[in-house]
Amino acid sequence: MNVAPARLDQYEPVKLQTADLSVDRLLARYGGHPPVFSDVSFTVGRGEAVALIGANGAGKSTLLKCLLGFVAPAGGAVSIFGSDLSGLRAGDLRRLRSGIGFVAQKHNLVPRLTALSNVVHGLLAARPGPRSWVQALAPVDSRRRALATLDRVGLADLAMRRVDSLSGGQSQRVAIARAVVPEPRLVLADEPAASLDPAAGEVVMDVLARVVRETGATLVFTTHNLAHALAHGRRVVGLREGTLALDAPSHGLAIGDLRGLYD
Amino acid sequence: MASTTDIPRQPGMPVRFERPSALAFLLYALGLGVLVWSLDGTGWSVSELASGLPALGDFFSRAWPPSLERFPSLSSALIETFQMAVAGTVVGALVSIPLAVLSARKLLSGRVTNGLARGIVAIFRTVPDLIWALIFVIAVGLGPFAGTLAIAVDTAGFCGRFFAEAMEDVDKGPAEALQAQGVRRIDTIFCAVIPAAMPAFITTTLFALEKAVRSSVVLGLVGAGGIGLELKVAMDMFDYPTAATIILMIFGLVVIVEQIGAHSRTRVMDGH
Repeated sequence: MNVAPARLDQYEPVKLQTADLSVDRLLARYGGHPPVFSDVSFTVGRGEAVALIGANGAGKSTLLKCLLGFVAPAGGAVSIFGSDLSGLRAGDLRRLRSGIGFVAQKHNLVPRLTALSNVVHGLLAARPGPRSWVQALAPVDSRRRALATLDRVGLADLAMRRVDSLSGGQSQRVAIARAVVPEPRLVLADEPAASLDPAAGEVVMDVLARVVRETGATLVFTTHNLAHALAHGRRVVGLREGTLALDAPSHGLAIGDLRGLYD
Repeated sequence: MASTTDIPRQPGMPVRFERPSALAFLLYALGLGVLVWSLDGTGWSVSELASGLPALGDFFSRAWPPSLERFPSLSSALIETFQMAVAGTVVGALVSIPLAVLSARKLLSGRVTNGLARGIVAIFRTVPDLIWALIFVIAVGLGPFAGTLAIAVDTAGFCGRFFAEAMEDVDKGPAEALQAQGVRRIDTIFCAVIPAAMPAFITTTLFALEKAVRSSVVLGLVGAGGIGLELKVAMDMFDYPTAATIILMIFGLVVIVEQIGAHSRTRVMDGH
């Protein structure tokens, strides 16, 4: 860990007035175990793309779960779109989440359904009920939007294929389409290319970054691939040994600068 | 070339069979004791079985050849039996879906509702279908409707439990991915959980149908419709040729339903 701490001194964390996401002195722990991380603070501005990196166990996935409200922090605060998550009731949290698109490491699609049905599911928060359960019942507008989004990830011709017959990369692109079809303000992605071969991983990251950029959404993604972090993140936030060790614009960084986070 | 006797004995080689603990030995002995007690209590006797074989032979000789005299009316009764099984299974399986959703742990309901639903499923499942048939005969009178209701309740208990377990076992990832995007829990169940559990739903329902076909024969014995009543009458009247026809017809129906069920289950498990 030679360079990364110096980078923290070198760059001031980016603070924009229109922050979509704000993490303030966050502390997370599971049960009586030592904290996964503590005193983590950063802000993500509207339309920014931020890569979150760190070694296994550094707390990247836990941090994303805190951002989604799945894990209640033991200290500090998370604010999304200006709302403090800790004060939200279940219904309010659900409404807030409807402005978020989420892409998991494993695509987490419903295996026996078609790609189009899975993308229609992305509209469920806005259009709850049986008509959004499968594409066959969906309103014309929902089907059109879902198909157009599949087209944007290059899979319109596979719309009626069951997702359990798709490759890993194709499945992850369907998951991206499901995440962005409701045009969320914020997209969170948890190592979206980790379970793919390098070529498929490149395609998935390119598609994710492009589609999110086109919609003007904010993107926060975790990755172990430092080239992906620098290529697709306008900023890189690094966790090391339970603390924030790096928060810097990516254009001034090289892969060698980030290796220290994994020492 | 080294012989097997030259192979040095490896230190720490595990024993092939572990010696049971005193408690395990006691439990094995207890299990064996219960088996012997049960055989004794039910009057198991090889000599009696051997002495009864001529009577069995007498039955078969008097039953052969089967009588086809009442084949048309017996066919109607067999069709009624099949209808009871199909209607009871489908109605029971449909009723079991909401029960399973409410009784599956950590899916939708709170502790009280969950306990209540599990209790209902347990009652449906633990009371034998013959008792349900007797109850429904009192409620709606003799005939196939009582039998169908009994099968429906029995199937609701059977499917309710296995559907709930299937939903508890599915990958949580798809449901969590949708919840992360603000989707209501009820929508995630119908979009992500039930489709993932559907193969288990279908195979369980097919097993329930096979079970229902066999049950619907027995239910006839208590007046709940179907071919079982015809079998009872034939046996009571010592009309063994007709009884043989009925037994062969039941055998044929059960084999056909089981073959269709097995074929359908294979297709479902193959992902169709």
